[in-house]
Amino acid sequence: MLGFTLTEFLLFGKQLGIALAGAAALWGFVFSLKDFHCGKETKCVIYDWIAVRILPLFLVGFGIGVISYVGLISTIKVAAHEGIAYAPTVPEIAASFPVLTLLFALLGAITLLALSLPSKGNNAYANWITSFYGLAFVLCFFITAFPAWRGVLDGQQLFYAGHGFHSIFTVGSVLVLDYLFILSKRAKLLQQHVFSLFPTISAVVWFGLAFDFASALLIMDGFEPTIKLLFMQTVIGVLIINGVLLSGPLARRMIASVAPGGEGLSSRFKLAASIAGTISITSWMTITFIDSFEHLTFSYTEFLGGYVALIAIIFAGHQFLEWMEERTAPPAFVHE
Amino acid sequence: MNAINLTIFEKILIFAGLLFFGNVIHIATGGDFTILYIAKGVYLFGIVWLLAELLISKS
Repeated sequence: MLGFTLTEFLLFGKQLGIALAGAAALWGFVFSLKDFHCGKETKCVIYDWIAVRILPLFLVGFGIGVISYVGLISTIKVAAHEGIAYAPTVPEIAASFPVLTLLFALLGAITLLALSLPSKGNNAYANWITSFYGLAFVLCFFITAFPAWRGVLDGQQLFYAGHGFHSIFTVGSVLVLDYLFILSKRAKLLQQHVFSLFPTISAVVWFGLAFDFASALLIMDGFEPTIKLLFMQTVIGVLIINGVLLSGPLARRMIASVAPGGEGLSSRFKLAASIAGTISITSWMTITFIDSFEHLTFSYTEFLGGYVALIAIIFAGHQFLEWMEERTAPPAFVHE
Repeated sequence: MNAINLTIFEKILIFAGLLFFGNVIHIATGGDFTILYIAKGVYLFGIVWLLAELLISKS
């Protein structure tokens, strides 16, 4: 219907789920690692608290990824594929299953271990979770970098890898960034620690998109002038320009606002930042989603209408989550 | 209202983003993928610039 197929939905679910889990593991690792460099200061507790709070996001991504992968194994043998020039074929996708199953099993085993350990609030758990996140990130990286196997390590196989793993650094990291932004609404102290990492996360997102662009150089003659391509190029233009404004002037102003003696943000500025954040998430989600489907039958206007409608829906949901978080009690160390 | 201050890296990326829009118009009117390659090239140049900025700021 409308060009959607079950197999493509499952491939999208696997890609987005593991990208989210991989990004959560990456930034959980970064936050939990920061406490090794700060002695016994109070902020160590804050970094550990943030690192542990990223775990639910990892579990959501892992859950979506596993369910999609299991569905994929069950259905792909009967799936029909019309053979797009540089999209993986069904046999190539199926050839990756032996390795992917092993990687998913390892990821599942360490996740179960992470969940079964007692006393998730103490220091020993916070130290242990650094190793967990590090290993989980490596496994997620290889899962996303191996969406299909051509049987030979040629340019197209490298394109599959680059076009796959960049999602951890792009859409996954953008989702984690937004989650942290909402989470930090509970207290200014949290905002100071979360906002300070915004430039680093933004740089990683930019590098992630560069990986994807660079990998596309391996298939220079692989583009087709379709409506889908035109729409995706439009969204890429939007996400780059919007991303520059969000990670540049807007982020610098937000960081300055939570610094000691910094001026608060006006409601107009907050609205602009919320709209930019929503456009960023929606754009990354949109290109990841649209990229998963090869035979969509929408016109350019329909694509654009759906995109704008999605921005409005996500903006409303985002405002609600921010409102909820602002009313959630901050962690105990904020008052210590 | 304060003027928006952008770094050189950010200006390069804004230019790359505008080129993507130009590419859409170019292809929609029957053109080839030349502007798309230029847009990606400009973006990658911006990333190299960012890398240089980061390395210089660390040294």
